[in-house]
Amino acid sequence: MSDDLRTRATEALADRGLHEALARATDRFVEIRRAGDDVANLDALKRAARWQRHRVMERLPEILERFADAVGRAGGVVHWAADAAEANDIVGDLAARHAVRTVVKSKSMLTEEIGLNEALEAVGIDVVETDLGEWIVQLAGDRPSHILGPAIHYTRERVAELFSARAGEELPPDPEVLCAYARASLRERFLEADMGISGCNFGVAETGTVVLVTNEGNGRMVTSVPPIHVVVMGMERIVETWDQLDLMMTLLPRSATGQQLSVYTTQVTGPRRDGEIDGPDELHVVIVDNGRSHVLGTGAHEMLHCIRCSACLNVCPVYRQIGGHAYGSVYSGPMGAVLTPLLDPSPAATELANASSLCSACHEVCPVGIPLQDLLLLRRADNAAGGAPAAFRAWAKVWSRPAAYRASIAAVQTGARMVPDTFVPSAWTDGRTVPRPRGRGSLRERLARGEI
Amino acid sequence: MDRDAFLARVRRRVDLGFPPNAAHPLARVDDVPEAVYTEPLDDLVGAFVAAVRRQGGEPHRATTMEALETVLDDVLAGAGTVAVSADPEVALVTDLLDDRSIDIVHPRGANELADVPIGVTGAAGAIARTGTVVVASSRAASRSVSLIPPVHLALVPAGSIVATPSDWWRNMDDRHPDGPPSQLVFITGPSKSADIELTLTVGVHGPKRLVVVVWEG
Repeated sequence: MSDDLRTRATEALADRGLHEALARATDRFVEIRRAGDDVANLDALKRAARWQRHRVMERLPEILERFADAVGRAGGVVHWAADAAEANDIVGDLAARHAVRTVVKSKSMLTEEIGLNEALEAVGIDVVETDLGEWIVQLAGDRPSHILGPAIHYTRERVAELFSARAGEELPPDPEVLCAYARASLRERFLEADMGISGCNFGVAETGTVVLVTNEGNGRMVTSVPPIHVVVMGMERIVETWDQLDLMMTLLPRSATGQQLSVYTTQVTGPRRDGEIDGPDELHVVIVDNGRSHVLGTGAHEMLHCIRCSACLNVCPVYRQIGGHAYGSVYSGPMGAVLTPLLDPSPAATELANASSLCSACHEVCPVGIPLQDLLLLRRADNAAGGAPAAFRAWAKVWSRPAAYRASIAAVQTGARMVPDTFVPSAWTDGRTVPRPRGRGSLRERLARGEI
Repeated sequence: MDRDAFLARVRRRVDLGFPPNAAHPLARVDDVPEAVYTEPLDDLVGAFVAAVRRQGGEPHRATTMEALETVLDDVLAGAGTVAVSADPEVALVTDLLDDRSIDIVHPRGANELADVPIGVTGAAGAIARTGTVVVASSRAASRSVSLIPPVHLALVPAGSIVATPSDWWRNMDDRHPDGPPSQLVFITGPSKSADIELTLTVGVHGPKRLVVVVWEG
């Protein structure tokens, strides 16, 4: 993670273009989400989803075993990766064993988390992101800034520049034309690819099925065209039954994009079978822990319930101002501020808990009811475990005595009229003005006098 | 890490228990509820056709071979080649295609479809609420006929339409008595992207046109 949160946020706040793009994108995501409101019992479904996610976590080892056995029966191979390095080694070994030169990928946050692209590229493999937004970001040597819209921080003109440079001819800043260019270019890569890598929205344990949602169809291409399909799956990305899958799939697309269903819901159970003319000869599922098991047994365990819909990003007043990159992590917004330090408890990650106003808009929209603001507070308490600053300790002492509290209020009444806005030069006061009391006396005094 | 070690580590953590959240306590919910929709639905075919249109697809209803022929000619529009899947519904149009001296490709892989303009498939079923066509690799014998060509023509038997996605997912055993096929895809409209300035574009990777014929003959 580069620099600190303050530096990254300050840079983001100074970027006017980013501001406009963020406002447009997040407003649009919130708006389309409202349009998808065709279900009458959404709140009941959310409550049930929270409980069902909990039920899965309580029996996670058994459910993972059931899933793995079913994948095996369907002809797939399951691999277990304790951390990022192991996961990358497993995929790297598979690639080496099959002399893979080109890999096509559909969007997967987990592969960003573990740095799979870099690991494969380091051994000379050509890795192609095929989600349009991810491809734009990849061509620019950049990173995604939103779970659903990796390139929401790009204008059409910038995309046209990137594509023109690759095409060796001038392409107009017209999304239709740019999209057609991407289709033709990526189509070639799909047809020559030796391996397809996808993430996993949900595994269904009872049948060993991997469920993927995409709108562009790259999820279908990756699971249909190359001779080997590798699924890289977070160990918590699982349900036990199809009833649970149905519940989750009622919530996921509606929370993500306001769709009843994404254009393509691809459900993969094993590799190509006898009598089928296409589909991969081999299916590998890499189940990745990478810090997830350590979240179990802590007060933050509900973060593992997250289904990556990104609704919390769009409503977050902080994300809407600074965008995804300022979080310095693959995961951004409220879910990122909670998840990142859980997976990587470095000082740079733990300070992300401060990137929140604790307004709880995230909790309100979360389809599985994760109390994100409580988890942010939990992290802040951990961060402060070394002891609160002296000023706060003194403040707490004063305000725990009624007489001292009243005296301090009276002092503030007078003081706040006199001190200039710049009385303490610090970052905190840079963005704030001293509140000027109206009327005479404290609220209690004014109430007592019958003024209010 | 081997499976046993991986799972043992997870089990040790699960055994630590799940500290409750006092501010927002977890509430037990005994069933796994289904969606209740705000709008009623009584006419499956009518609702399906309306939903396909809403999703950007091109729905048609055909009760006679003549009607089917009209739609087919409209979609073919002078194309010289079509690819077909092994779905039983495709038999409906085999004679019509033969009469038109069109090259019929029974592909053996995605590479053979690179230059084919139209893919014709049947459907394992359809979903009325969402306008979804369900294709299954087990009966189509193909994942790519419905995917690679820029136009996908799907023949949907009217009797195979169910009301909601829940009707499919909660009855997997009945729908797929031998277990789920290697690939089951719910197709809801043509391929879409909004990755460039959130401007909707169609046909990024999958078909640009999804033509759906509900066969009521």
